[in-house]
Amino acid sequence: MRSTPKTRTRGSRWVAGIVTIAAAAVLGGWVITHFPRAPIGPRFVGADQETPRSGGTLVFSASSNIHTLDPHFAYDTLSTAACRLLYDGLLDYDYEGKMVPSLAASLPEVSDDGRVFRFTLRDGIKFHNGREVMAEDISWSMHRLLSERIGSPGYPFFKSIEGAPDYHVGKTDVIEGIVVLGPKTIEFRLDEADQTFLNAIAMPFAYPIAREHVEALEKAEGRTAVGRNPIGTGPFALGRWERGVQVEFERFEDYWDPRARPDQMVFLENISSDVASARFRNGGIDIIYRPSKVNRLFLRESKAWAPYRAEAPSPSVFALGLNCELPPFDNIHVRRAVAFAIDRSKLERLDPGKVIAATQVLPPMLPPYDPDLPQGQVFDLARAKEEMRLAGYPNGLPEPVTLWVRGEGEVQLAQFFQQDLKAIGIDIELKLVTFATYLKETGRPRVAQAAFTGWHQDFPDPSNFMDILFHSRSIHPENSENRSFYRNPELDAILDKARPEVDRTVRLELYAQANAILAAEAPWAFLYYPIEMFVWQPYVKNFRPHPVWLNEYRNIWLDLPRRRVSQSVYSPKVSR
Amino acid sequence: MIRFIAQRALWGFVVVVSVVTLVFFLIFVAGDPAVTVLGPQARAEQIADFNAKKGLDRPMVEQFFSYLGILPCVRKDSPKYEREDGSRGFCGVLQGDLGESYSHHESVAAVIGFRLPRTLLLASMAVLFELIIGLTAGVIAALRRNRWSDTLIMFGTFVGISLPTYVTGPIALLVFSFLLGWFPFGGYGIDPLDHVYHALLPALILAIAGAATYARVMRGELIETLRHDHVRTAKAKGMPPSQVVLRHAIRNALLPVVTLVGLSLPFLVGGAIITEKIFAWPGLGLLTIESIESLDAPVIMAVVLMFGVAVQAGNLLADIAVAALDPRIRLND
Amino acid sequence: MDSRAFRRFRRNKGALAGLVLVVAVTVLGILGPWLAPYDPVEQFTDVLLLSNGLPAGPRLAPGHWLGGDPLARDELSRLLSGARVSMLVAYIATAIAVLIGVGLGLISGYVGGRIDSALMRFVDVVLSMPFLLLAIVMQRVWDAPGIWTICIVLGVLSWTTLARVTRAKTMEARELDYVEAARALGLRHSRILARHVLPNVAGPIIAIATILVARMIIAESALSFLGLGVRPPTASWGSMLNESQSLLLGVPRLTLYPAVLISMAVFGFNLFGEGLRDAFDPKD
Repeated sequence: MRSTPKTRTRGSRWVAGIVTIAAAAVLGGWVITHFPRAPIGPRFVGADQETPRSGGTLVFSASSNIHTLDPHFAYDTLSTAACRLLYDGLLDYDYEGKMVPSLAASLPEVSDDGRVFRFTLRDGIKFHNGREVMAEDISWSMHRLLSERIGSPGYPFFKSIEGAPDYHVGKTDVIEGIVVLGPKTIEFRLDEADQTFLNAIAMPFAYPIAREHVEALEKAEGRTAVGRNPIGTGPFALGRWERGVQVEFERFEDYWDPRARPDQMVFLENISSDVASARFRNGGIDIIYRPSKVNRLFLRESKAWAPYRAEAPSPSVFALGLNCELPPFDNIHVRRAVAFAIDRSKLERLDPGKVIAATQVLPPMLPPYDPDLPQGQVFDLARAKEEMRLAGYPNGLPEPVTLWVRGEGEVQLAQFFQQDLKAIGIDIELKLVTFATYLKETGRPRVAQAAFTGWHQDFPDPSNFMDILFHSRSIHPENSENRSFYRNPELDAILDKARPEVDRTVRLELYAQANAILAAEAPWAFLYYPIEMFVWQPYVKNFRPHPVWLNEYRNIWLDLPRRRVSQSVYSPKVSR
Repeated sequence: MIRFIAQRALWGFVVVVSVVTLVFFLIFVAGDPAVTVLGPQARAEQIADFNAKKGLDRPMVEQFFSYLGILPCVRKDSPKYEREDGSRGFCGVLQGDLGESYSHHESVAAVIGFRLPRTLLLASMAVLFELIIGLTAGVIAALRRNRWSDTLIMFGTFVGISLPTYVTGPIALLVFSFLLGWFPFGGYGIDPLDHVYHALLPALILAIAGAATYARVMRGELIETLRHDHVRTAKAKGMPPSQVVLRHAIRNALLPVVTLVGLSLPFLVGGAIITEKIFAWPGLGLLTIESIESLDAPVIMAVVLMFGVAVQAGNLLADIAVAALDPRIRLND
Repeated sequence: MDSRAFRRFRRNKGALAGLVLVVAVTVLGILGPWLAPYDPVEQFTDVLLLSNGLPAGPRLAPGHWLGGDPLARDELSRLLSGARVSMLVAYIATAIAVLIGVGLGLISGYVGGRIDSALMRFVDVVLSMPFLLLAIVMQRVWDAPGIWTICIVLGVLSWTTLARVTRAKTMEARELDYVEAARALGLRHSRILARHVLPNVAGPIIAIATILVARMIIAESALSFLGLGVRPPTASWGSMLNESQSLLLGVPRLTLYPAVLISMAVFGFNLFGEGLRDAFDPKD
């Protein structure tokens, strides 16, 4: 055993401590001073080619993982985005949000009573295994989708097809309302006229899938195998899928709509938005949406990135749901007072480029949205106070109101509005519940006084917002979709008239009326519409945010080879 | 000996069953998976369909025993739900069926099958780093006891124990990946070599605490063994000091470290949740978080089951090893 | 603490440094909310929120010494009031663990026999539970988890080491001559436990409990980091770490403040605890 003089030990301990602390301080200081430095603009530019050409690999990412590639189960955003590459439907939407034929040769012939839709398939469309798509395939896929065995969440959208409910519970073997009239012709017959059936047909749920492939796979590996190894008709076929890491899509050469596309697409899974943004700015990812907050703020300000970014409202709305059955919100004036009292501009300031103030239930890209709606809900303290007076509470509510919130983000939001509502004498108590409890309890009548709520469209039609959220038919003893329990026979009548209406102008006129009623009666105090930001590398061409699908990558082509450009270093300037 | 092992194994089984029971009922109380899986926009009939398909409309106790495989299957979407002759089959743990994930549309076995090797890679690399760093530091500290380097190392181990991964992880990611570009920005890579490259930084971060612990244990043990008689004898026989340390002391001191590593493995596999989250490592930890978020009960249960079995197996092996090595320990408890 | 242990402790510079840190963070926990210059949940959107959406730094917002947090609240006030929450959770959770662990350990070690083996098997069960996982599940089970829920969850899941050590030490103490004599004299068990056994057990328990406080600080902030701990608007160091994640790249100071505080507190408790252990149970 070596023995060391005491003094030396004591001295060296102090030295060691000081050295370590100093080293940590230097490292920390270095990290702080170097952190915000990042490339100021794109690191790579394209080859300036004029004409679109195929080739290259497009890399993009998402922060969680793809659950399935089986379109009959694709009910989350990621699975939908991936299915958009692998499959096609009979109908689709163009960049103006208008319905266009896709696998169908043209928009369907609709019978005069609006109950029968006849589709004719395009010639020369093929599955990825090379077989031509026939009307029989459409019918078989619909049968698979609606069967009880599969148990797809897509069923409710198609239950208006004649015989679909009986088939769904196993009473019949075929759906009467789906009739194959010829090799390329198929007819859908509904129980009642319903224009939104076309929207349903354009949902990923209705994308056809190759029967022989599915049957062989299900037999060999079980029902869920289809989600791992699908065969569709889309512009890209599945290459390799390293689960939870990345999916590779290969261009499908026999696609019916030939245009320039990348040879390959790589969809990275489980990349957090921070990581994705950093990789994007280093040139490792070609296109991102929803960059992390700091990167979003930077990319919004940066001139260098300006030509390569776009912002588009997401087709959803967030609001404060007010229970119209429970006091004090059974009083329309209190509801209106809340709607007028909320200063939505604070939100826009807190998160610039992330939200815009909502004035009505319909999001901005969905007709008949009206930016100048006279009944629109805007911040107006004087009117809010006037409404409180009309309600009989000139000095505010005697008791606080309980607001149900589900998670931190909403608590922070709620804190923003607590102050606003205090100004008209409404005290808000927050009740934080788990997501599951929230969904269960707010779906029951007479439970929650007020709750944060929102809706993301399933398909771009006003009925998808209004019928589901505010029609009295959507009130149930459990799991109501109408969580504000708003009942208005006048609104019900308008909605019931609009849904089957074939004439688009008349239809939109009816929904405009409904929209005005909802804004004025305020079962929801509308808060904001989220905005999605997209940024892409200069060599990524022909990308635009899609009004329905948002991140629509199937029409992109790459301007390759890319060139590295010299970089200056950006350090964010803080300015008021 | 055999009786002892059998007893221990039986007891381990009881422990696992009780843990599984507890967690099952906890999850059951936690809420309605249908609404979390189907999302806030779920229609009433979608929820009813889902519950019927998964057997969630059955009484809690029936679900539990069906999960164990004692009562017949309640999951209508299971291929075993209905036998050829029309009677109901079994689809529980006893039949080797862990069920189907609610959100992944895939059997739990498959979901975990993809994730487990990745977590094992990360864990084994972390153990490797722990041992290399920890043991080297421990040996140096012990040999240079009370000297400058010893003090520094011991101070370092304290810092190592005190820095949680959610502090070191993001900072390492930003410094080494974003600013210096030495390592990838998280993720898993696509070929085996790439996996290892991607695992380097998270494994290092994960290894910090373990390395610090091992360094301390190693130092303590080594100091102890250096005092033992046979080491002194070897020294006295004129063996070179480095030989003495390598041949005798380290080998002896290694035993407790190895036991510690064995016992820590299940925790490393199950406890990498935060590291996996920070580094976007698509392993079991990330899966666990997602499953709890979405109340994906079959996956949560499988993870708990695996963890319990791993801990029990580890304990049993450690007991057997100790008993085999040290005959003085009586095996009657 | 007997005088020899005390002397050993006093000679240990590291342990003394740990003690200083422990006292510092504890005092911060007690006084913090009163020292805070502003209400920790008030939002100063006019002063602390810049037009580009980032929180203002101290230079642009005079009077706010550390600037604003991501939601335009005063960072310093949040750190100070967060100190109380973090310390409170750590101490209470440890107290719960000590109560359960020492209680069961004493009974197990003193009574022995069937009760002993039953209790030790119960320890096995608790040890087989994945700590973080179970904590997360339990957090989900209870709606609106408050500070108390977290304390209970953490305390109930982490008493096993304490129980094992207490049991071992109790068994040692039981064999001591004067304890056996007391038993032979027919003294009441509670009296023997309190007067003769507990003092023998106390030293190691205090040491372990101190290290446990460090682990509790880590566990609380880990839960909060995953967004499952203390609920906003209440601040704890862990939840502040979580809230600042999205601004890590742009405003790293918001991450560094709580990170440094957490590390310092954990470091202090670890040093102090190790020092105590060495003092009570000297190896050399």
